[in-house]
Amino acid sequence: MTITQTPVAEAVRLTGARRVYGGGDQAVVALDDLTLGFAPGTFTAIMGPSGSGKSTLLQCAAGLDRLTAGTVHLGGVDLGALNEQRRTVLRRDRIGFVFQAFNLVASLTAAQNVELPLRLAGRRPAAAAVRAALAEVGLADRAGHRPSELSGGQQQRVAIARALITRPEVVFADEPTGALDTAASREVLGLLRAAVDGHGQTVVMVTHDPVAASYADEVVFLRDGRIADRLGGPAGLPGRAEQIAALMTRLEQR
Amino acid sequence: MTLASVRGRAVSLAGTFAGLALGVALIAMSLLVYASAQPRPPERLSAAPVVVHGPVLPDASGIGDGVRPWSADQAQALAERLAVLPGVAAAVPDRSFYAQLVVDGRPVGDPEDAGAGHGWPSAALGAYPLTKGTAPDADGEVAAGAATGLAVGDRTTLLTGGGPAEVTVTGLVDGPGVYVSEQAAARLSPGVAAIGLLLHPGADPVAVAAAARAAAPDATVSTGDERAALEPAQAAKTRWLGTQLLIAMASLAVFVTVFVVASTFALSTAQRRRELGLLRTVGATPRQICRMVMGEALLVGGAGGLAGALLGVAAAVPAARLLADWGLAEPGLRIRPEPLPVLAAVLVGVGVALTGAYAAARRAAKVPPMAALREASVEAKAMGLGRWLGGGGALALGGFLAVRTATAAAEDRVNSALFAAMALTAAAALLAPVLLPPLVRLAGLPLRGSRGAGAMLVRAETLAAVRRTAATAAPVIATIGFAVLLSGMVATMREAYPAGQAAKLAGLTIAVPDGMPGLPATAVTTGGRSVLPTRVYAGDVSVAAFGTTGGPTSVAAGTADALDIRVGDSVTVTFADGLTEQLTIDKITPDGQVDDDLILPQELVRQHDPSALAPSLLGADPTALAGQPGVEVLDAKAYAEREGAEDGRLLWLFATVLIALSVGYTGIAVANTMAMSADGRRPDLGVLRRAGATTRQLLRYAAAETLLVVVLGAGLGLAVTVPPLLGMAAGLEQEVGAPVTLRLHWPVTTATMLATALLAITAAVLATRRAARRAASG
Repeated sequence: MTITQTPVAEAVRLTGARRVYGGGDQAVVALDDLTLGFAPGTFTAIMGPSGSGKSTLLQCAAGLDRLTAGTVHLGGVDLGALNEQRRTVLRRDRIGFVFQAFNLVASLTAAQNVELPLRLAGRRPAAAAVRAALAEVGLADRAGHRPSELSGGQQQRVAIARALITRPEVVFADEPTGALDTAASREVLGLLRAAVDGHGQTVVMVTHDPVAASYADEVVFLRDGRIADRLGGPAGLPGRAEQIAALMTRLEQR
Repeated sequence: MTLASVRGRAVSLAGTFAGLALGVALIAMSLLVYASAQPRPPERLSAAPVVVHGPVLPDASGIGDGVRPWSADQAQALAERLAVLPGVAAAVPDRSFYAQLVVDGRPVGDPEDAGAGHGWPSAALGAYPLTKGTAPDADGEVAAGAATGLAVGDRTTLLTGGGPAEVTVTGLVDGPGVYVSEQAAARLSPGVAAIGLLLHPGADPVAVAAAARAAAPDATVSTGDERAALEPAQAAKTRWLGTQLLIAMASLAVFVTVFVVASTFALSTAQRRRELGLLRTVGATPRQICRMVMGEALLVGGAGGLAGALLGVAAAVPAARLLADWGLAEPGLRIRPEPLPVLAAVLVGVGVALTGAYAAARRAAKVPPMAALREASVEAKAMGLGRWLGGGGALALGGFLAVRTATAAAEDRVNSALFAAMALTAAAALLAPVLLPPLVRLAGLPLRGSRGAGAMLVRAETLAAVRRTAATAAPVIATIGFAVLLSGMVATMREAYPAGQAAKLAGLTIAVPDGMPGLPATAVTTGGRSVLPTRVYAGDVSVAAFGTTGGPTSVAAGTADALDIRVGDSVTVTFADGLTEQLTIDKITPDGQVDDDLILPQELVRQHDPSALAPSLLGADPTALAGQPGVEVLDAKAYAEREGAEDGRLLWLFATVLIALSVGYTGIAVANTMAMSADGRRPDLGVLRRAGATTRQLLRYAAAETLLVVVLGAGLGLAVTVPPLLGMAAGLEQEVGAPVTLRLHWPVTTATMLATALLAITAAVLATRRAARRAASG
């Protein structure tokens, strides 16, 4: 590969990102000249009202969707310069995903789901590594279960184990707790937090839940495809969720 | 990974597996029967390890080769030369001709066999022993098969090409055939096609054959299985008929299997969009996805192929017996267990699975990773470029074939119509996403004002997932299309031929053989018109020739090409007696109108082929024919119906077998696609239930939607069969010279539609009930 690697200060960087859906009168601007970077080893939450462009941001940053204008660099590699095949390989090696639901291939066991990215890359997964990854999310005893035999929270934990097995540059999570109850949500968010604190992972999470966002190091608020506000400071501080909720309410009213 | 994904979707793949297994079974069975039915050395020559015969010449029109005979003198001279070769005990000129004994006033033996008579020496070639009495040695003496029930000393009537004659049974033979003295045989069949060599014990057939080749350089020397070239013409015709059915069955199996596999794989890909998208996001490349789907096809194809091979081998024996019962295979047909046909069938099965899955795999590879993120699985564009091209191409091809059906030669017409229908069926299935929505809207018009949710839901569901609707309608189109086409074809032909015949022969009385293969000279010479068929040899081809009175000597265009002759040319032909004549060609006729490869003066045929039999006598004189055994006099209408009955029987046989196959087969696909589509909609069902729909309501909606799809599919199925049937009717009209209208066989058509609807609705309701339960619990 002849991809020039620039010294990396940020795991992911969007520069002047613009994404327009449709054309003519019906054109919808989902991202409007947005510039944003995510430093390695940080946990960022992206919030915003419906239609603010938070999902588009995630999809473009992950190379699932192409920008209309601007660039995305992932670990110093310009995604726009890659074809579908190379982007797929890049995603496989450097990005982990956790979605709201339908994260797992129904016909595969938990362990098989975890080792899927390695197998797709043509590598033979070490049984010990897979076991360790499942143990880390507390599911060592569920390796042979299929998704239909797992609860929603357990399924999300398998998804996290899978997202982390390749030690990716960044993990993108799209409403990972959207379909879970409070207890399961807390477990999932705790696992993401632990990945950042314990392994120096970078996590970018889209959510609309202030409690979930309170686990992040930084919260980025979007509105109409632009950054409307940012909230830094230590994660998990008492009263932080309320603070985020208040900001959200203000954003939605404006 | 492929393995796991196959395991995980066992239900949806079960239909593909069943379809493939059945297809491979049919192909394996057809190939096995075909391979086993290849020409075998006649039983009659079993004691002659080496047979010296004239060159085997191919028939100009492709059905049945012929062995060019020697004249009596040539054969005698050759036999004398062969008899003195080392190891040869005797060289026996073998003659076969028409001969039938009359027992209790009726001709006995196979009424189709025009070669049961032989000279007594031929009995030695089969080592048929004389069990009682003495061998026939003079005119008026005959040795009969012990099975006839005749006794030594009985007086009876012998029918030959010349007519009936009184004979005495002098001996009984343990074997088939009617044996006369050598002199009598030489009169009935002056020509000799083969000389069988009887060997001394311990003589090596290979060495004898080599010596025979040296002694008779112009002759063909056959040993072992090569002697199959001398099989009776009747066996070749039977095999040709059987082969037609086997070819039709095997090609139908291939087509329907591709269809089933393609539609089920397309449906399963459409339903797995989210899963495929997930795989793409976690790093599966499009090529990996394509390989995965093809791998599934390979696995299912391999498994289905193996199961089908076993099934096919098991089915071959009863199938051969059935074919023999129907008169489409020799009664003694034994299935030889050969690995090659079975292997070929398995390979075809795997190939078919891969072909059928290819389009789906390509489509699967195009699923974007985003598909995993989207909420509902709303379908992408219904018609891709490939689908437009494929559908348009198939439509054009089908239209072309339908037009060609009208002008095709009689023997190609059925296949042409069949291929036209296949192409149009494929076109309808591919273009269904375009064709269905307007039809759905049309069907929904009368229900616009209805109050319930049913009409609204059914309409919306059918329209929202056009591809899914198309995929479920496809097998319905094929099922109805085939049933309508085949039954309509037979109904039209059954109507056309007798009508044309009766019109042509109006007012005439016709004499036909009853229990015999044809009318002998004594019947033909009572007055009336007849055609005397024989086989002649010109250049390097064997030609079916017909002797007529008062017509020009004419030759069909195809035969003229094969012989490279033009009007006015003179051509040397060898007749059945081995003698040659110069014929001047007056006329060349277009191919495929009637059986008229070569038409020549009847006296010539009579002179050179004393055993020639006329199939019928037009304008017969009933009083003059009275008392002749085996002759029946009919009026034009009865004759036309009698003639049509045998063809009709074969046609119905073909049609019934093919309809049963295609309907049973596509039935699997209908049930499978319906079940898969219901299964894939579990989330929707859950939503509907939460919105307050009772299970009963859900089942009603499912049934209504299925019924709609079946009705639309049936409509399209009917539509695709009309052009080929019209083409066929037009072609028949030309051939028979009487107006022919398109006929549909309504009982078969209606029954097929009802059965399809019932099957589809049952499958859909059962699958919906299961899905609804799981949606409720999950």
